[in-house]
Amino acid sequence: MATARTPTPSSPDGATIIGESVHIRGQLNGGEDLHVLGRVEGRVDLERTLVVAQSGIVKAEVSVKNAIISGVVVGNIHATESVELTREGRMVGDIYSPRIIIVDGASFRGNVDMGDIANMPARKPSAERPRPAPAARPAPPPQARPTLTAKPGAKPAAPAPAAKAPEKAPDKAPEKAPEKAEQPRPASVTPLEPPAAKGLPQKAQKTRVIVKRK
Amino acid sequence: MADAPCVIGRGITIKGNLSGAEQLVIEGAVEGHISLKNHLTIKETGRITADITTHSLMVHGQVSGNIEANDLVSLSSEASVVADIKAPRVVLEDGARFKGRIEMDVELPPGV
Repeated sequence: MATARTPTPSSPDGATIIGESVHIRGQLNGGEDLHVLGRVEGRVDLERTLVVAQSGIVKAEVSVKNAIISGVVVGNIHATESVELTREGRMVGDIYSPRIIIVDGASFRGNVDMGDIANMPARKPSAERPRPAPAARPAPPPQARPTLTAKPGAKPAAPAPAAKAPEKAPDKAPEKAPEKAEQPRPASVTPLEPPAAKGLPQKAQKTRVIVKRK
Repeated sequence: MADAPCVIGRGITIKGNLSGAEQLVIEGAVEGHISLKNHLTIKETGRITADITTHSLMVHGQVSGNIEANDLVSLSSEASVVADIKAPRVVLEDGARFKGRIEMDVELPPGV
């Protein structure tokens, strides 16, 4: 087997890849993404994302930020952000993560703990998945800004709160006048950013690579 | 079979056993047992405290209890479920809140 590095469609730049013919037993720590196409047994501690490819087998206690599983995992996963079992994913073990996605076709046996679900804030649609997995739904396109089709004679989108500035009778309660200074700023128009713009682990961001060799 | 499924409206609370062979949509509250031989939908307003046995299940609302299905159990992004689920197919959408155990058949490769 000369091809230890099978190029995968999801193969990222700057991630460690454990090739199909590689079998690791022991402890694996790291600060970068890890793609497992081969086999890992023991313990995996990552500061970033673990991707278990379809051919990958992980039999370990896993502690990561994100996990995307298309292969086989036997063991428990603790993720600080999210765990996704894709269509091909198979897993036996417990998952501890605030965000867990199981796609139809995946198989799973174990406990799921998302923490305090009663007080969990409602779903944040803007929250990005760690990486668009092959089977992932495409992110909804940023909504088209309502085009300002100004009717003839219509006011050019006056900022509603400012337009309603409290007009007080000058003779009445003059001591309240200073409040006017606190009225909402007339639409300091910060354009809405498309949801994808924040929170997404951008490729462009500084890549911190910590490779620990022993 | 009727095209329109039977609906338990949002103003209805049922305490006891609920069984049937027809499609059912629950918008209200049910406490007790649900046994259905068809598809069950629990809408966003639905609040279920019951053990559920059904053919398939789609949850948008709140469920606490045990769930057993012959086919698919799907928890939508609005669902909030505390339960043990036993079904051949279980789907957890992004945003679904869930706590409990999931039992599907998992075929592992030999030697794992």
